[in-house]
Amino acid sequence: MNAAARRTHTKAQHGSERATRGIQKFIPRPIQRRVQQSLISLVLILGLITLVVGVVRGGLHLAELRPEQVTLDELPSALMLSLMRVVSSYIASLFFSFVLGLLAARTRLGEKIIIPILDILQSVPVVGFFPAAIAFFIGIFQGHRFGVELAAAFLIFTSQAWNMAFAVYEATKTIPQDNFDAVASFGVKGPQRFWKLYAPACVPRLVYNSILSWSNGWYFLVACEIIAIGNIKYHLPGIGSFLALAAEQNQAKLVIWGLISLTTLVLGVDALVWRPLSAWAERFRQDYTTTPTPQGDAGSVWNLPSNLVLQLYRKLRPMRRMTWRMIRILFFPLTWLVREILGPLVWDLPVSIARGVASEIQIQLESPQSRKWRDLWESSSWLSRLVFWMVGLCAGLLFGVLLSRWLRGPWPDIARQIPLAILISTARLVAALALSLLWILPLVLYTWNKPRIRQWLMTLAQVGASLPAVALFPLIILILVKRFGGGMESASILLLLTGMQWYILFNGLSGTAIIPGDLAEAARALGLSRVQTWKRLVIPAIRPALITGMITAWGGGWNALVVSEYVAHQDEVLTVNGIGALLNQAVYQLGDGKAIGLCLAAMVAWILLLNSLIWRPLYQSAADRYKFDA
Amino acid sequence: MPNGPTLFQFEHVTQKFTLPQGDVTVLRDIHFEAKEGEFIAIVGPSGAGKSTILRLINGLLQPTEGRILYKGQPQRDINLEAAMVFQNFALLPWLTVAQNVELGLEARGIEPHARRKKAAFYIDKVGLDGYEEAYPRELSGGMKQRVGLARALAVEPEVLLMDEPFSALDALTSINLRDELIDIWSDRDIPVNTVVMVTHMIEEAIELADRVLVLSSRPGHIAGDLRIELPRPRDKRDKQFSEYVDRIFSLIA
Repeated sequence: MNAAARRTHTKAQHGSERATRGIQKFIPRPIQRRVQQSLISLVLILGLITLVVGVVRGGLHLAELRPEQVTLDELPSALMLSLMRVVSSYIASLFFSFVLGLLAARTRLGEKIIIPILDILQSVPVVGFFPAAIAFFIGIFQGHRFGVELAAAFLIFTSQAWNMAFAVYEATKTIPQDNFDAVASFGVKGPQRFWKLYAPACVPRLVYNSILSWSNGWYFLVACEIIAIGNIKYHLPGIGSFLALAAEQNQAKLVIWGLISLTTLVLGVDALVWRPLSAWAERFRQDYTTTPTPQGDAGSVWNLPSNLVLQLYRKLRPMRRMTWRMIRILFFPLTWLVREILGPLVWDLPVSIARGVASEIQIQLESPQSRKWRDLWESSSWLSRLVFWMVGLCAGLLFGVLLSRWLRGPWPDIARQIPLAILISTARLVAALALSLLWILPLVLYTWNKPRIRQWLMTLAQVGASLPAVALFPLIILILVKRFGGGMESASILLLLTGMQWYILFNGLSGTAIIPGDLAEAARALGLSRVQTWKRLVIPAIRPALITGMITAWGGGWNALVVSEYVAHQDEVLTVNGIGALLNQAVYQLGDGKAIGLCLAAMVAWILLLNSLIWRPLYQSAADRYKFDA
Repeated sequence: MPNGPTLFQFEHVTQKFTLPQGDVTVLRDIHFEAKEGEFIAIVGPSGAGKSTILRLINGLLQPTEGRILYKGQPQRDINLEAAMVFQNFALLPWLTVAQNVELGLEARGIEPHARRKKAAFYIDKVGLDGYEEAYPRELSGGMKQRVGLARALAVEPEVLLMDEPFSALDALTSINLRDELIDIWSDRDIPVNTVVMVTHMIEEAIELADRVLVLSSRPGHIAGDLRIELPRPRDKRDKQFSEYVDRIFSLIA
């Protein structure tokens, strides 16, 4: 066994020891080990059985949840239900982002595996995967409402999680080495290290990306609350389905009421949650490139609610401590249960399994000789071996079955249309991107040194991004195509805009926010004219942020594409030639798994190709050259 | 030192800032005049409003009360006859050394050929010959500040404003740069002859300046205005030098 391998091996052992520490206190070690092992097997086996049975049986029993006539009475409850849906998905995303983000940032292997996967997931149109995810979840719960609910939560989750995991990853990556050393030298370990080092370091980026994720969740809510497979349609009560149904039933008044209440909710959450959080997050910044300028922005009316919340929070500090103590005493049995039993089960076990697997793979990667490999295999833990085999077996089986199914039978006709459709869709995206830049760039240049206007616009972008435009597509189409005689082509580009422009606006504005005060002052002192300042200072300074915005918009655009090239209104289908329309046809008209798979695979491949050929180099060059360092 | 006509004067200038906690008076009743050819150092504790005075001279700020006359005329906008050297250099990271130095010339509408020539001249004067095409991040702190100095000199201002120009540098580098600043100031090829420098280091002020304005803090006001009558080069170990130090110390405290 070479030195590196030995090291990783002891690390794995250390990991499983840590995992069992919770139970250790009251159960002797050997028994505890056995209990642990049998528990895992139990969970794994039960999970597998449910999965298989669910998919096999439930897939055949899809019951339709029929949409009825919408009324205004449903609005409050719809709003609340949607809010709960987005909040719970957000919380799940938060947990997910910490686990994956930290794994990726702190382990070499994790970085190699997780980051590319996250990258793909982030740039892949989630909407395209709806049918598969829905079939899975509904299958497990056999068409029960809970399954539909879980499917929706999962879909919202997919629109929030990746972005936040990246925030954790990047923030952790940029923690100065000094801080690690300091924390290590004082012997801060485990959960304490998480709370003292990682979590605070992640706060600013995480809050920032959370705002984006939050908006994203609302945008996709509609698509998630109305779930259709073939001609079977589910709808979950919520503001998304409320809007969509009202639009479909031509109830303009209800649509407007729905929009007003949704906007109010978004603005309310922004004022009461995100703004105070952003202000609070400033404390955790580790760099201080920007010197605050003495401008009285804090006094504006808009900031009043967030200031009030912050002040209240600060005023209540003594009370808060007492409340905490009360809660702690009251919930002691529960917290004990969680800490001693549920915690090890839900958290430590998966972590130790993951660690075991990770170190196993790492060992294999690091020692090329087979003899050593065998040695390691024999000395590795029972747990990791089992997991290794099971994962391998499942993956192999799944792959074999899928591949054989795929290769059998003729290719669908749709396959031949894919290349052209992808090109047309790309052209459409480029057009939408150009249109967005056309109105956003002048606006950003105009407002770069006007922080108050910028604040307003940021809020506008956030609200705009969270309004589920998808719900309004039928209405927009109706007005644009029917009343004004515009073609479906222009309508689909307009629809794309609703899913793309806000990212560019948001990022462009935040790019201007980080222009260091002394550079802006230097430009003024040198007497640069307005145009010269734009050319020499503002445009170069916002380039990285703008490109980030464009990349995000591009990703969001592919998502929007799927819903904007194919719009069903009442009994009519309006469509243009494009990959999104093709995908929809495959799902709704053909119901052909192979066609869906081909469309998705082609689209994903194309997106990844463009990312690595265009966006990544572009971003890299901008980030290298146009960053503030002095 | 030969002092010419009055270049600019502060007439009972008071400066207030609006902060979330309320209005803060940073400067109170600042009243003085500067002659052409003077090297003025402004010293004082932090928070005394030293940098604010520079920004008022440059026209980056407008006084809340009182007024500033430049060559007898009330000043209302950016003063293009002044040029500032910033504490943290304030170089644009995406521009080369030469492009950074040319920036002020570009702002004054000087055509490319002439500004390239002028930039090259001043880059040479600050000892950065050969670094024209380098980017700021490739330079050390001392070199960055030389670029900052060249950028300010290149517009050939009537008054050079320096905001703690040496405080972000290490001790040795700042000694070198101080010597060079005196060389440049007395260089006849370089038209700049009036300098206003802000510093919190009393020795630095006495070493460089003809005249020291001592600010006292909260709100900042002029606590003393003294001429430094010492021959150059000045020696810190000199008895008179330490007498000046003591006097300024007592004025601040």
